[in-house]
Amino acid sequence: MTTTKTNNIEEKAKHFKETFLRVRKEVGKFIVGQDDIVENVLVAICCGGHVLLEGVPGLGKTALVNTLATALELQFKRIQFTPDLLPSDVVGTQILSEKDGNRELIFQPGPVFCNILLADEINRATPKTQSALLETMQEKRVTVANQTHSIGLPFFVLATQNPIENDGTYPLPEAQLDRFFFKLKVELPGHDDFLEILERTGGNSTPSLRPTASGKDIIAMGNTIREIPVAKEVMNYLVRIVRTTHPDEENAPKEVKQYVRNGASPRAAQAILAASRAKAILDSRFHVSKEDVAAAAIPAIRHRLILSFEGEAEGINPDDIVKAVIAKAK
Amino acid sequence: MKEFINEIKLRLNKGIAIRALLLSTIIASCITLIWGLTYIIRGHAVESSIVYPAGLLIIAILALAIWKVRKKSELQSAIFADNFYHLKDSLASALEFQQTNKEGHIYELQKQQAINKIKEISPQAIPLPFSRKLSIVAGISAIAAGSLSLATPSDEVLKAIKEREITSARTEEIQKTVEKEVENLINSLSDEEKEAIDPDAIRQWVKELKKTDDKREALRNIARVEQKIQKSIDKLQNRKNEETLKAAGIKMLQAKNQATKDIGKSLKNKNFKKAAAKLEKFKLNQNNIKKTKLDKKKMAQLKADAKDPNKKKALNKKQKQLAKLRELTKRLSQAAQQNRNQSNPSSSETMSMEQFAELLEEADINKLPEELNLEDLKELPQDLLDQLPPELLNKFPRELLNQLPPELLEKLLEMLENNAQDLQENMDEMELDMMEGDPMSQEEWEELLEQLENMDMDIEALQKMLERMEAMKNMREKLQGLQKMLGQSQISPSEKELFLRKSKGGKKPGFGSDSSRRKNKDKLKNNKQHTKIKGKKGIGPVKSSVESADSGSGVSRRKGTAKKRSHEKQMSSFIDREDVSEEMKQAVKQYFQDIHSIQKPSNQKSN
Repeated sequence: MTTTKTNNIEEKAKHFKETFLRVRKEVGKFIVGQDDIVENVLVAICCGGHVLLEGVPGLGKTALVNTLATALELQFKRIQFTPDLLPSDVVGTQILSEKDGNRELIFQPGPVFCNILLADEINRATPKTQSALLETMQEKRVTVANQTHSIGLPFFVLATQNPIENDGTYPLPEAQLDRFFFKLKVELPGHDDFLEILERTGGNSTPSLRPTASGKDIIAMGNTIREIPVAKEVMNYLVRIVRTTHPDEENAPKEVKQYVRNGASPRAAQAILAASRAKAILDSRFHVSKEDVAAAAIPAIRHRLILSFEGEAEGINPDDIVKAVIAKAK
Repeated sequence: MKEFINEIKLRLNKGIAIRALLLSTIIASCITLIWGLTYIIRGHAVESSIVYPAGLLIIAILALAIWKVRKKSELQSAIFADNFYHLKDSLASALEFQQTNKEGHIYELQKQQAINKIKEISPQAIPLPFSRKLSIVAGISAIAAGSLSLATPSDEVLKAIKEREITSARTEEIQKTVEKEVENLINSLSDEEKEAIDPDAIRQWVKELKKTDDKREALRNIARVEQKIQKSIDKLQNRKNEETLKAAGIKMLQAKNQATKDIGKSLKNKNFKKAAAKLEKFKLNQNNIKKTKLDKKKMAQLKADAKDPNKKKALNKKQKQLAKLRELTKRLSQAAQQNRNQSNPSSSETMSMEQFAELLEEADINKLPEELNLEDLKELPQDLLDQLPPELLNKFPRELLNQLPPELLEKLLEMLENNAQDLQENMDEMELDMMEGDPMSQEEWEELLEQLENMDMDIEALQKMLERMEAMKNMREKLQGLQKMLGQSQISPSEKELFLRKSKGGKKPGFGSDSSRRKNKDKLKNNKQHTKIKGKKGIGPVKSSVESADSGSGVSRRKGTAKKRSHEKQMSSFIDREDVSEEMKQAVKQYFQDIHSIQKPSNQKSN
């Protein structure tokens, strides 16, 4: 765990990469496979974004977040979202307290006052409770009883949701979804990874994890990312990708025109740009390439596409649409 | 890095140039091929001097256009290199940062990274987009287009080319010759003839005979000028008046007076100028009679003369002159009257001024007959002119009668006769008065003198009109000569070329053709008319006149005769038959006879 105070971009990039790899290695002690997921979660964290992890139960979503929190030496809290969860259970509430013989209402912070918040099964909570996270995620603050309380930085929400169980779930509203930097799909591990998981978790001992990066490191890494220059050509490519996710756009591919009701927002473009820069540093480059943009586009756009009725009815995978958009934008 | 990008750019543009050249070669070859085929299909040889340079031009323009459109810029070259060598946009980014003057350590690092990446890369690894298929197609199409130049023109085309050359030369020659002829003609014109037609108009016609290599156009030009000449000839046509004067001339030949006979002879021969000159003798010479007041002495003399039968002849000298004149005018007037009766029997009677005024009103001419001036008369339609009362001409100042249009000749003749008659009546009355011893008053004397003077001026007007008619006749003949010359500018069937007959050809007198000329070499001057003249359908000016409907008989004689013969055969064969009764035979015979007896009068009538 090192904290750099240098202005040399080379040093900063080196620090970024080393810290990133160190955390990934640490996480890798517990999480088998899922390298892309781990990398993207880390990229999102470095960029100050929130991640929505989607996958069937038992794939290690919660474990990944737990491991990450441990490896990052950040204050970690978890909320298990249930239908009866109230917004005050998330952001905090005022309680009557007696102090020196006087009774007064004092603010009791909720679990969001942390650095890494695991919002487990976020789609099980009511939209009211889900919305309680909105201000927290975007503004990094909480307003209760007309009083605004800032949350310490860094702050990341790592939410999970189960795509299969639809009974008693409340799909996240578009506004909430748009606030997630990435939506990552946790897939079933491969055969070898399966064996490795069983081997690691089947014994008496569990891998011991230690913090490898601090909150300051994460903030520094975020600052480094912003220094990476992007050529206009690449920027145009990025804008083309985001714009062509809209069915009204002239150059939009036919898949978009047919299955998409609404495309990605400028916030998606910001996310892609930041993620691309992070990926460029990880690739030891001082410029962003179109490959970086294309790689960041899928997790950044997939949850921001609102499918049309036809798209929903035909079960269109938004990833396919994003791939078509990328192919068209080249 | 910049050098590397430039090398990439050069290589890419080289490839584009090759491709553009091949593509433009194919396109230009195809165009040239189609173009060339259009020549060959029409039987021409490909015009190599136009088609192939044009093809090369098309190649150059197309290749340049394609190259301009598709040539790569530095940034495009850098992007291509990034993609080709998988440099992850290193070059494009570095170039852009450099072009936008981005400064900073990170940009240096990025540039260095890009330079490091291209160190081991060679631009020569980029393959030139040389397409073997494209090259083969370009080669084949170019060879195919080029091979068209080997085709030779067909015989027809060769003939046509030769014909065009000849036509061009001939039209030029015709123009020059006709110009010369026209100038000669104009120089030979008298003042009266120049009045009849404007010489500049004739010069203008000749200018229309432009030099052309199109035979049809040349002939069309000639025909056009011919038509214009014909129109002018038609305008100068004065046949009716000429026939009137000729008829009068024939009548005059029967006169006792030799002078009248002489004029009659001239008129009969349509020698109007001569006739006009001879008319001079018929002037009453009123100028010799001085307009002096009759003093008592002269009056006494006149009285004495009137009583003296021997001197009566001398006194009546003028009357005799007038009698001669009347002999002439009467015949002229009769001829005019007769001609008018023939042409328009309904207008045989002379119209009064009142009746003519009504006619004018009907024709929407809001003038009284007395108000008509000479210009108005020229504008009047022919049917109104035919109805014009001759005394109306008396209303005009005598000097203006010289300018009367030829259409009013008949009216002039009638007026002349009327005036002569009035004068004679006046003089007869005066003679009677004198014989009764009643001398004429001063007013009567002056009136007589004025009448005599007017009579002379009327004769002068007739003279002028005759001179004008002579000029028109001459001008007509000259134009006909010019028209004839142009009419001879036509296609010679043997040589298929235009020619203009410059000389009359033929042999000199006494050296006519002989029967052995087919065997021996013809010594006739080659004026290109001794070949068999054979008309070519649709080409050349129409020389044959179209006969008007009323000039023919209306029955084809040959056909009629054949029909008659056929009927005769039918009749005789019918009569010879034994199975037919005699009555029937008679009836049939009568039938056929009746048919032809009906046809005969109608034929005679039409003839």
